Amino acid sequence: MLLVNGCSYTYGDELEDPVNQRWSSHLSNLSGKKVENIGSCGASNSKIFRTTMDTLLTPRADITGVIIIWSAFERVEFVNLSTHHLFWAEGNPDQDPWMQVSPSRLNSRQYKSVTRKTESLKAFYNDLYTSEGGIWQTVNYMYWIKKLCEMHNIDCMQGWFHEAMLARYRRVFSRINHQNMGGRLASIDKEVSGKLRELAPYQLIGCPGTDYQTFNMFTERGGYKRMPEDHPGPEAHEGYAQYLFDIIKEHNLFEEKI
Amino acid sequence: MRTKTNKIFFNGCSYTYGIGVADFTDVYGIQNNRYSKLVANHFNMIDDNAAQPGSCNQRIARNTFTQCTPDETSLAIIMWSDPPRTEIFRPQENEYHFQDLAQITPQGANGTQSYEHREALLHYFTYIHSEERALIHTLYNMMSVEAYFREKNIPVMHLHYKGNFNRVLRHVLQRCEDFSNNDESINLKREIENSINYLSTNKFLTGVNDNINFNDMVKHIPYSTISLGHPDKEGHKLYSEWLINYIEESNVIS
Repeated sequence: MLLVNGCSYTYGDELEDPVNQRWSSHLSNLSGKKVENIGSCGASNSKIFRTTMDTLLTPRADITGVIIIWSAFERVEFVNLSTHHLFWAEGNPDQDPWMQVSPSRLNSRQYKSVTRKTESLKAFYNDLYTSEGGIWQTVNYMYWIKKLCEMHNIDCMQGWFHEAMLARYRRVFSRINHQNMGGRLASIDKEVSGKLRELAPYQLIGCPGTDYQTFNMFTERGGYKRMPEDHPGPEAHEGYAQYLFDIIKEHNLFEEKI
Repeated sequence: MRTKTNKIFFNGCSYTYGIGVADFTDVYGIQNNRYSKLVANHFNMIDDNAAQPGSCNQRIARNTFTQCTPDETSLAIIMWSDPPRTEIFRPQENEYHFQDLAQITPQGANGTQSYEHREALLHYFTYIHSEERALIHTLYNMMSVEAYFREKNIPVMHLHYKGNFNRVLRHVLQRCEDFSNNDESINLKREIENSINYLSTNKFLTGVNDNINFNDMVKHIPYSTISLGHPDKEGHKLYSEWLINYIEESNVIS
């Protein structure tokens, strides 16, 4: 069984039949392995990390591999049981106490649970959140999951969902930023690039250091159809499953360990 | 029992760094009187101390993977900090040059010099932060560290500087009970219990299923006059004696 986690791109948002049309299902058909997809729309990397850990730490002999497509650095999550009823007056569809926040959706009417705290979240994104911190946290999550999988003696494949993350990474650690920000940025860059160097190429899909494409880039370059809210369409999911399967074969991943 | 190595790795906040045992400028005095040094000396080992004052738990976990040299480490001792603490990147700050990310405590938010940062931090601690969020993120930091050292086959002790973690845990579990008529509370409680079950398989877990912590253990000794709110030399000595005894009883270092 392969454990798959990520955001809407992994969940299969906007697909008519996500469970059967998303890339993880096609990958299951290609590899002949069962897949458990715990991805969810809007997931922050903090949530992806938590839910992956939660699944892996419960003794599950059936999980033989992990695939994670990490989400945007800037997403965060919060939870507050005392004011919970304010957010979910109309019912919480998946009984998840956590709320996932994306800065691009703070004003969206579709996300009432978030807009109640819009002012605070705007202040957070304007004055507290920085890409440096977000990138470092995500890279740490990637490293920790790699370590956890090593401990369980299972393979782990990871990557970023969107090439904008790579562009952000390059901007943040650009020469001009190093000149402007001095030693603090240099020490973060050192730690982040050091952690990334410890990851194998198949754990750096769409990240610095490999040519493997993010799902979004694959969709763009392949000219695949997109859904109304810009998520990859069903053909893109099928194509990306084959793309990931080729990487799996190239590196002999998820073979039975002795 | 491990004999090939000669370091005890410590990480934590100001309590582990040794604030209060000597003047701030007396680095030698701090490094030689803090509990980590006393413990390491007792076992004739090196005090490999990666603590920083004001640390949030995210930094402690992150920094543990960066600073620890597993091949030279016999034992890891992590003293977890206050769950609500957080960290941000503020390159414009001049103080604390040694910190890549500024460590933020809720009680210090009101004293932030920059108006925008102060307002944003007050918003953050009022509306975004919650005990639930702080608790669970701390638990996942603890689990990450636990998993890391298990993979390295190095025993790790989880300690707490104050009873804050235990208090937050009790509050959150009580809140889960108060709201037990909704599925979200049940799910949150399950997530907390799963985390604790995993950590509890480590026999060196303190401050979670009990309320053992540094501050309470030395509370009959007046706080340091150098830095109010921190144990002084005497407090560190007393705590180190408890910790030495705890380590010896466990027979984790030969």
